[in-house]
Amino acid sequence: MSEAPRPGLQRRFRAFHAVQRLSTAGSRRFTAAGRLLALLFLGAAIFGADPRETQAYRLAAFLAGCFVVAAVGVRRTRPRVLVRRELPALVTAHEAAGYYLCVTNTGAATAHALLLHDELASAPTAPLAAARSATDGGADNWFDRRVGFLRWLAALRRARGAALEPVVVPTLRPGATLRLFVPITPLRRGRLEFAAVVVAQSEPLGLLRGLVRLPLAEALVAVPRRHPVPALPGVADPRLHGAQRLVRSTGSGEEFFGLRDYRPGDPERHLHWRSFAKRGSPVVKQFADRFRDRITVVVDCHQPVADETTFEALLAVAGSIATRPRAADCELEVLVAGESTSALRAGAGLGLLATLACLESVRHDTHQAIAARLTRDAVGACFVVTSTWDASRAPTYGRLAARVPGLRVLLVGAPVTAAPATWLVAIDPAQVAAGLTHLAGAPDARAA
Amino acid sequence: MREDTRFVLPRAVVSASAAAWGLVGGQLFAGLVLAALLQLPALLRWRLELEPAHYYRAADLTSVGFAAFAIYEFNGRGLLGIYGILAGIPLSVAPLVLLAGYSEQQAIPASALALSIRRRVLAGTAPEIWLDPGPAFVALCLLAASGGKLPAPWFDLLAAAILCALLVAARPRGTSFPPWGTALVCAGALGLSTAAGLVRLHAGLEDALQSWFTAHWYVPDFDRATTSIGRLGRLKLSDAVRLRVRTTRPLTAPLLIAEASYQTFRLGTWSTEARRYEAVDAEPGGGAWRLAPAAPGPAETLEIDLPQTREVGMLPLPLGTRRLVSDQIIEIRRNAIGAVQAEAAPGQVRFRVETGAAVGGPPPQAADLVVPEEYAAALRTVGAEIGLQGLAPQSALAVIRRFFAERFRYSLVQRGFFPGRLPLSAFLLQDRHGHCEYFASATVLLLRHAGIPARYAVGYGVDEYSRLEAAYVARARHAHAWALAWVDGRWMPIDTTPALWYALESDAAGATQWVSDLWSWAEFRLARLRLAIEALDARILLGLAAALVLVLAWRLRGQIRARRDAAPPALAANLPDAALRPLFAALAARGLTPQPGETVGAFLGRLLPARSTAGELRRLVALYYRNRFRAGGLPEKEHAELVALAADYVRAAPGTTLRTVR
Repeated sequence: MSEAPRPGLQRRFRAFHAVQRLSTAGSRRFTAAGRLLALLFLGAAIFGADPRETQAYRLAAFLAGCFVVAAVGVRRTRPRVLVRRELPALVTAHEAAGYYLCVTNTGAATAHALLLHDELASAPTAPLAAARSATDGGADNWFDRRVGFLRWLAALRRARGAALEPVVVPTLRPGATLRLFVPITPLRRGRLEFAAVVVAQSEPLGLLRGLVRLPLAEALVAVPRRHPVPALPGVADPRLHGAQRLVRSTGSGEEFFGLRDYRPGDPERHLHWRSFAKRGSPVVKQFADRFRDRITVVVDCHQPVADETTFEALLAVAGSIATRPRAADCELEVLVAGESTSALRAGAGLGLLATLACLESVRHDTHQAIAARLTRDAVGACFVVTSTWDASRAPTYGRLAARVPGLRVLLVGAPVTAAPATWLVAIDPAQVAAGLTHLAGAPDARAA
Repeated sequence: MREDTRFVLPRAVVSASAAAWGLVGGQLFAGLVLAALLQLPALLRWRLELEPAHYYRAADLTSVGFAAFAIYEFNGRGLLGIYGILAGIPLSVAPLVLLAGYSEQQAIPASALALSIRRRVLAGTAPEIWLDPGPAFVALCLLAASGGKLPAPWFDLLAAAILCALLVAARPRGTSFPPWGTALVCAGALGLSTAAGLVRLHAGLEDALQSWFTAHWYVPDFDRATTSIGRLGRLKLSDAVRLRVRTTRPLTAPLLIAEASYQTFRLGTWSTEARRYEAVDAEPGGGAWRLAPAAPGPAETLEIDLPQTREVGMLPLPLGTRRLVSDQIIEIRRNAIGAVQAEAAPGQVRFRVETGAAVGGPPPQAADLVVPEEYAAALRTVGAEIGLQGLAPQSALAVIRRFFAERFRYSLVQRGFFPGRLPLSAFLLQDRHGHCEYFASATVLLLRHAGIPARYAVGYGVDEYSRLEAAYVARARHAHAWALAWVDGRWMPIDTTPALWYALESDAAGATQWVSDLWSWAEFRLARLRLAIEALDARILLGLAAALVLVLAWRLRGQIRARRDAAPPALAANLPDAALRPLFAALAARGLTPQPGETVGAFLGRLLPARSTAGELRRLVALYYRNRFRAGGLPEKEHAELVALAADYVRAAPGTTLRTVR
């Protein structure tokens, strides 16, 4: 359960917010020349406080005149444009991607010196969450250790999802449309909420910019990274399908291939009446067992202590397995053990990845619920991806492994405290790709 | 870097800025060398291949050098060292700017400027950002040049030229010249008018703050006068009206009105040891004081209005004041050298003085001949230059007057630093220009060097007539200093400040002076009106008050009568049902009426019987309302019941138990 920061911290972070807004407004409103001359004005005002000592007051007066005229010019500068985004279906966290901004000049005059700022919104609780993380360690200089503003800023940026640079718009004639590429590197997985596009245009002196905010709410999902998985252990192994009930709801699991004499115990619905009539003795249809590949991926969201890095790696492992190319008749089921255990039938991989992208870790233990669900439903190759391992889990999963031959527990990040088992695979969060590459070889679990 | 978010200055502009700084800031050689070095890369084909580490070393060296320079300046000049630092900023940052100019990147990395950025860049957690130092260097040169000696119009031209260059480089793509040029011209005009206004504002604020400070915090020391001798820059005083002087005849020459005189000069401050003030006896009847014996000869009468912020203040008096008359002054005190203090209620104090030929104060003391040791050499040099030794007092006076008149000029501006902190020596021997305090102080010292007792006097030079005030006014900028010399048995004012000073001060009047004069006149009139009202006889005031009361009473008379005649509305008559009229009439007769908005049930329940008869009361109220609101009224039987119940309540006194009727 989240806790509110102390009142003193709340005041500090309100100040952070104010400084950040001021800084953003300043960087958008002032051009590079405007910023330089504003600093010069400040210096001139300080040194010109006593007109008897220097002429700096005259310099300050000239600069003040420039900014007043610029402010008047800004009032008369209102860019008239329409903006539209062309977003990709998905982007991957921490990987460079891009999208397009289509800007159309709806005014009567050619638009020069336009700048587009695409704004990402953060959740209302994000600043508070950012505030909490700002009190954690990790500062790299004494100022940040003491004040925490830079850490808060970095956390806020992560909460928003990406840091977008402004986009320069070339000269845009009336009625013309330009398609501009915007690079984006998501700083986290999850939904990136776009709020608006701010269009800036310089006034004639080039010191200030007029701003127009165009609300344009859209969302982009940043999915966890995926890595190649050359082979999955237990998939397409007929030994796993011999006497087990297979596909349940996707059609018959038996194929008719012949007739034979009736034997006591055969179901009467298998009687072949035509042949019975011909022969005078009961004849039953003979069926052969069919089977399909089935992969079950269980994502265990339990983390006693939130660890975003490990959880990202866990989701990367789960996503990599879930999106590995498979046969057309290979069925995939993803179980998410979070607040509750829910199942995702994987039709489109994008929907699955989007769901994985938005998962959050939970604090309550989930392995019993996972075991119960797998005991009831697990068939085929089953991969439990977890980052938690303790003395209570080993016997539970051990029993499960005895019942579900295709079970593999992929332990991401946590040291193993039990004896190594063939069904237990350890993956280093920093080397997920290497861990997945060797998955088919199922290296022994690391001991603590 | 993005195309839109940076602006590039031509190399020539950067070099020209350095040269301009050198020219204006008195560092011509350094400025020209720097300009040449900055321009040289344009002629060279090679560039230095520099690593970030080279920039880091250059930046660290620059920082250390700047810190050492700052310490040197503050140590040598105290807080004024900030202006020295300002003047030297371009040289301080020159190493980095030169390095960027000769490098391949033509820029400096941001990590060279901040350790925190450097740490992150080296750790690979932040990208390197390259900055063009040209525009920032030009801005610093301009700022440094503002601390130079260039007079205002030339500095304006220089600033306009450099700012123009910056704005040309910053002009957005696609902006045509007409709107840009128009904006620039408007900005320049606005800037010029703002600059002029800032000077006035500064002087006005200073004056206002000083007045506020003097009125609320500062306890003035009447025994010393701190001069502006040695203070650099332009001496600026405000246009605020300080004195109003009414004469019987128009003035033919500026009238010198002295507040005090002093004897000892040290470190820019004149002081006196005559700190003891003795009360001057008023003439019989009060309100008049004789300050000097009556003497034959014409007498002049002046009326002076003086704003007094404290109960005790110095009284500015013309030389030769014999008698003082005022009904506002409570007491007059005088010290051994003739300075006069007055005790009066704070506010506008008016007094009348009679002047004429007089000694002008007590005879000189030993302190009136003392020459400070540090100025002895300079005085000897000047004395030898003008042949002062051995002259008779009158001749010496004439020589000294001629010396200042012919070889000195009036100026409100002081520039440059005075070696050994002896500004008067520099004034006498080198600069030979200054304001009245210089002239007065130097005259006093020269007179003493010639053996003539002399004092330093401060006050006002009155020459401006105001038609609005119908009086001569002395403003803050008319504050003046002069010398007093004891010659032929009396004190004579010796004013060696060029007569031009008054005209120069008048020329310095602001365009908005008429506004402040109007305000000052209104304030003065209001103050006089308040005094007049306070001075009125109490009987007259009482009479006026009584008359007002009578008029008010006559006006209100009709309304009061109307109120009393109107009887309160008869409650019983308003009741729609006659059955309860007797009940309410009986209650009203006892002075019991329902409160505004009170229902019949609440009223009766409040007044009438005890709890045991609450049932009858409820029955009565129910019957009343049914009779009132039922079409056709109550049936006969219930109406009779209502009437009977009401009659029973009429008989019962309030608070008593009702007899059972049925």
